[in-house]
Amino acid sequence: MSRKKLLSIILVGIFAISILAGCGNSGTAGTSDASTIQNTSTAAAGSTQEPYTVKIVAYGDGSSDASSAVAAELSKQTKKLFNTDIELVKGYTVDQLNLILTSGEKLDLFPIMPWELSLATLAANDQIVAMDDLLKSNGADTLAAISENDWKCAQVNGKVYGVPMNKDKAKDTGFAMSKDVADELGIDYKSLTSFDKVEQALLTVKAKKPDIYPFVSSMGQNDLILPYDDLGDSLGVLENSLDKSTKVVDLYETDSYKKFVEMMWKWGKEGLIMPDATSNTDGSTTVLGAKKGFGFFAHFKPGVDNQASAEAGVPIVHSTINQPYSTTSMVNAVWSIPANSEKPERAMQVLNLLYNDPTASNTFINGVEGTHYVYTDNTKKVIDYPSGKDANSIGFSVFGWACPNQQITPVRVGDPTDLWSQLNTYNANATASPAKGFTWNNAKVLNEVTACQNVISKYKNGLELGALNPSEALPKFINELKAAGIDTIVAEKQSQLDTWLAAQK
Amino acid sequence: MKTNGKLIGTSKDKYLRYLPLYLMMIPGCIYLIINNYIPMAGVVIAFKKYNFKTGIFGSPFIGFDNFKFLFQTKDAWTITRNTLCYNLVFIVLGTVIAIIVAILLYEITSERYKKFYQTVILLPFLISIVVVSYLVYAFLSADTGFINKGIMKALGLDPVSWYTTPKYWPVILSVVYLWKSFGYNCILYYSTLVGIDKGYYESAEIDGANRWQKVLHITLPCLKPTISILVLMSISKIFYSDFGLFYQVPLNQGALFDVTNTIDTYVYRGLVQLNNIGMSAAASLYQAFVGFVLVVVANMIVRKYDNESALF
Repeated sequence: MSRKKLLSIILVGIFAISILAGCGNSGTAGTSDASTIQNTSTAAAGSTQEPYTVKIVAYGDGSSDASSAVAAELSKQTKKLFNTDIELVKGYTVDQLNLILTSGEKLDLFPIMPWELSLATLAANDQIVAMDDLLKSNGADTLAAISENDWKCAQVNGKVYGVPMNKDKAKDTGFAMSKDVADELGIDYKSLTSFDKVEQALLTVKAKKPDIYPFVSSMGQNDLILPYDDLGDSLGVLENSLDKSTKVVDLYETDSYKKFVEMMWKWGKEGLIMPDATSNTDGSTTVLGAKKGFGFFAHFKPGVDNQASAEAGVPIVHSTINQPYSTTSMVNAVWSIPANSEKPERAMQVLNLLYNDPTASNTFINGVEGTHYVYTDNTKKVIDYPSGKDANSIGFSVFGWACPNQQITPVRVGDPTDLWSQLNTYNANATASPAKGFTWNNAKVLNEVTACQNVISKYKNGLELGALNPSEALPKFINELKAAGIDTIVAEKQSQLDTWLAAQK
Repeated sequence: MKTNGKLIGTSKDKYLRYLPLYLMMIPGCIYLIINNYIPMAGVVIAFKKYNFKTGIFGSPFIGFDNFKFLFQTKDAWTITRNTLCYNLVFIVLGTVIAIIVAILLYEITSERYKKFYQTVILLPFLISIVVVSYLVYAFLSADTGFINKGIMKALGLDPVSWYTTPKYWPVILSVVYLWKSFGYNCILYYSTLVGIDKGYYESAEIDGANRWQKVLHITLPCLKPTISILVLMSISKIFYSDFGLFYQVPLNQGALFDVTNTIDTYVYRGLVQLNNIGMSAAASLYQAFVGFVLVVVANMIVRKYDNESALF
């Protein structure tokens, strides 16, 4: 009896101690991770800086094996130059990124896509650092490489918070579709230049090919292809960025929005939209690749068909409904340094390298030569997947446009060799919204913004994919937005825009 | 002297006797302190405009602004109503079904079947809610779902787009919840039933009681303490919703938010998707505060009726 008791005491004691030890360990692990104890013996002679690891989160899927291979290749270069190692994480979701940013986890560089995160909100929350001084001290090349107008788009409150990606800075919008299906049914894809013509094509598909969905969604969402300028966050917009009006309005109250959702509702009734479009968890190109869909609304840039076809695995073509236009949001997809970075200057060195050095940029975008890509010619201007591999088997998705600078890297087989100059011409020739360059600072109305976003998440996808009847849902949507304070946001945005416009003269 | 020594001796004995129990308490206490007490300091965020650079304590106070927004929109009303109503339904139906099934199980005499049914009814409880959400999707998918394709078609009814029609979801969620959880509660009640002295039933049989009378006059009164403790515990959690059930099962569909948004999903979305820590902290504090009041009130009521069943 007493031996049993003794044994239980000992066991309990051991258990308690092991728990305590467990806590202690995890506590110190957290801090040692933060202070980055690196193998100092390999420090290069070229740099006198202390060793540091720059942790980068990048856009697009990627296995951890592929990511660490890319990081290792990149580290070779950065180690020599800055005594810096690279840690690369791919395949984030917006929720994960938000958690990293709110929890204070170490992160040095990450991309801000305007449709995922708001530059203004992150800046207002002080979750990202202002870069002006960093650019002067550690990013002079980048500072010089980007035009004054583009820098303006990455500003909040007069301070630069990110380096704009050197990608398409304008978009034309329209209908993308499977070339095979269009050819089979004799649909002239170039001619689908209005919603009515698209509708006719969808009806043809529905009648002749009942086994595929005429119109598909992408991850439960639709691309709202109206030529509005979202002025940062779609709460208060310019209804048409192709005309000169600078009146800020609530997008969801506009006639063009009403017409769009009424059209989608009609399409839904006619059975043109895939069922359960709002809960579809596949991308639209995936659905087309599985030969289960015909087309979807999307926005375009030069070379986009080649890119989409590679993603889908079947040829994809598109028609243009709205001509190219450019807004701040097209430019302010940026790379930023979070406040969680311990050494923002070291992050800036790496960012500067990625923006200006062709080798580093190529590694970052396309991976390791031989493993993830091969050159197809001696001039090293065109690359392809290594033999036996394709987009799906190299271990990560290549999203060149989502990296700092794709224009200093080789193009892919199938792209025109002058793709980058085509892209720049396209950017330059697009109609600029009258508010291009204006950046919205939502600090004063953050709670209204959150409340409105709550309302939007309730109605937006359902309305835009024809799942909710606009005659009932749209008035409710508008009223709830009003209750949530959309008018306050619109008024604040209008006054900021007016101030900005006055300063431009 | 003598009495003194004896007193000291007994208290020492007491300590020694209970020492293993005290030691066993330590891990739990440490866990509670680290996990539940230290983070309580974070409630100040609800009254602040949170700034990530200056941190929790450096951010400026803004009074009740965060709460103002919660209550200015319909949100606060919707999420409170949903959380409370769903939980009330869950508590009432959940208890009734679990007791009925437990009694039925108790009445089964064949040991083999008893084991079989026990396992079968507990199984849903062990399935991850993410898997459950896809099981539900297999039933409700507009295109390929079993209900639209199998049942509605056979009955000659039009297919329903379940994931965009809020009015069905209170029923769907209740059914899913009950299916998933009744097994576990049932086992709790069943274990009480097993402990009932068989003598009661034997003497009741001698007196000529039928099965129904036995259930009504022996089984239910014996279950009363268990019922009141379990119900009280559920009431204390009435302001907390099953996050997985309300977030995963409706596939996070916006059109359904009116009937599927509870305090927990609201706080989660506010924090993770909208990035507004202040407002989600305010919603959480509201949840904790009202939940606390409810526990105290429920306990007061129980104490009035049956002092022994009260929690404190």
